[in-house]
Amino acid sequence: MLSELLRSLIQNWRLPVLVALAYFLFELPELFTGWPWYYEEINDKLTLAITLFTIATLASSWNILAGYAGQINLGHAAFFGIGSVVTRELWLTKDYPFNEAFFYGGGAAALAALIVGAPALRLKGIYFAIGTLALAEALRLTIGSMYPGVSRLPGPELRAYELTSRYELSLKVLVATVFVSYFLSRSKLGLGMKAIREDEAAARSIGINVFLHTLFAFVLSAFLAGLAGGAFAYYHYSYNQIYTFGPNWTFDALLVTFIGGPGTLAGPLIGSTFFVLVRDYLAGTSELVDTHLILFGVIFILVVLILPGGLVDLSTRISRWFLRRTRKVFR
Amino acid sequence: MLKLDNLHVSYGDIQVLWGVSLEVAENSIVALLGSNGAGKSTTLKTALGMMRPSEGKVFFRGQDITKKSTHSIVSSGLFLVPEWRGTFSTLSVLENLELGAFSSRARPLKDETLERVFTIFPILKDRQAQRAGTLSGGERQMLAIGRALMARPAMLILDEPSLGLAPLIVSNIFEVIQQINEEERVTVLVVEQNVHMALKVASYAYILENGSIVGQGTSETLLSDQQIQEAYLGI
Repeated sequence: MLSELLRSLIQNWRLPVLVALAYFLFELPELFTGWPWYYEEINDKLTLAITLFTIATLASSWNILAGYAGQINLGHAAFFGIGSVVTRELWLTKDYPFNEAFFYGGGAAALAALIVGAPALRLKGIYFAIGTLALAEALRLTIGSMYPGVSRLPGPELRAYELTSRYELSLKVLVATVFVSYFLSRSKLGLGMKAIREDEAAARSIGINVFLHTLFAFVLSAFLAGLAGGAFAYYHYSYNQIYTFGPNWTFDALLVTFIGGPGTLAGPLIGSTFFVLVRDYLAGTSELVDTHLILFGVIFILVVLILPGGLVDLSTRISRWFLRRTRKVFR
Repeated sequence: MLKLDNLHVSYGDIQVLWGVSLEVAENSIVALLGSNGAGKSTTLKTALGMMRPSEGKVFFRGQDITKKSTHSIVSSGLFLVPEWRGTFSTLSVLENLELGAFSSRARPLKDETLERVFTIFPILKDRQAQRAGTLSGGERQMLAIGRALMARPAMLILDEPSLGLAPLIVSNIFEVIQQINEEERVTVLVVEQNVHMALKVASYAYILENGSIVGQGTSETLLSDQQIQEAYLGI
């Protein structure tokens, strides 16, 4: 009985670790209240954390379709953008309560994925990637002319503005995305997706409905990106609506997922932490601002060439190397 | 159980099958023989709904399945073990087997079927946590057949099960095919270049050449046929 409990804990160690980590992150701002440097630095730290959570959510949600189901979507920013623009417009212009506007934002992104996915997922591989990129760009230009100018928070919202609730919302969206990925990867649906990623023809021959599986992954991934967009609309007090549709959101998500390890739970999280921290550090130095683009381009190429499993794979490789060494010593 | 009726299939402008008809009776083992490029794989793909014939029909258990999608054909009980095995190399042996029981028909019986598959292939039980990509060729073929059995198929189609395997393993695989047919009551269509081995287990065989059936008969008649011997058995 006890040993069984222990074994299941060892096999499922990820879940308690994730729950503990999420709990710790929710309590983190509270924890630092009262520290001497609290009022000077906390806003910078919270802003950095919100940026990290946003990119981590985009990467994890992108990973659902790319890492598990094997389809590269280059239009992910469109769903982030749809989530933010719908949330922002309903909340600020149409006076919806924020929570409602937020879920409509996610829903609108999911609906868009359903409409786009039905024809686009008939395309495969590179054609699907190009198709989604083209659609996202077309949408970006349309939104740019529909909502020109800057969207600002109105007076009352601006006066009540504080970062902790923004921090909490973007963390909630990230936690939801990670837990959805966790349960998906161990479900029948997730197993079917992995089979499609491995060998689509073989997946078809064992009776997997390839189209429905990839469409489901696409819609789910878009819904979560839409929620991230909603959280962004809540967080930013003034920005151009076109900004959230920028292809940089897609490529950041793609980059950090490949650096961290595609098709894994931890990969997008590790990759985005690495990315955001290094970028923040470089931005703080006067002469290296924006060099992160070059640096991460190089890292991306190196990881793909040398470590195709991403940074996550590094730990397994090190432990394997270590085991081999110790075995030699004992022989 | 399976009936192909006058199939004409083309890849674009190039016609590959010219009126292929064959029939597999329930609980039998039937062989489809032919050399490279004869149209064997195309015949199978058409039967499974992966390719559409320009003319002709496919019947499974009396039902017309010509226009059905592959996943619905598979869940109705016709299962293909592809020539390239189609095992998922980064997934574990156990995950591969579980994927076999993907249809809602096979799912509830999963644990029971898994036990039976492990009795037929004890090696898969030992290797269940291993990645399928680390298996040898013969083990991978066993995994592919094991995965097919997980689907509780009424009929199995095996595409070149002997391809790339050592002779000893080939006869082992064919013994299993016979065992599956007798003990699990699974109808089998085996597609082979290894004519000797195929005729040993099959009761009836068809010979495919350049996209048409050029000969058929019981295994005994084919084995004693002078022409067949010269063309395919190298005697």
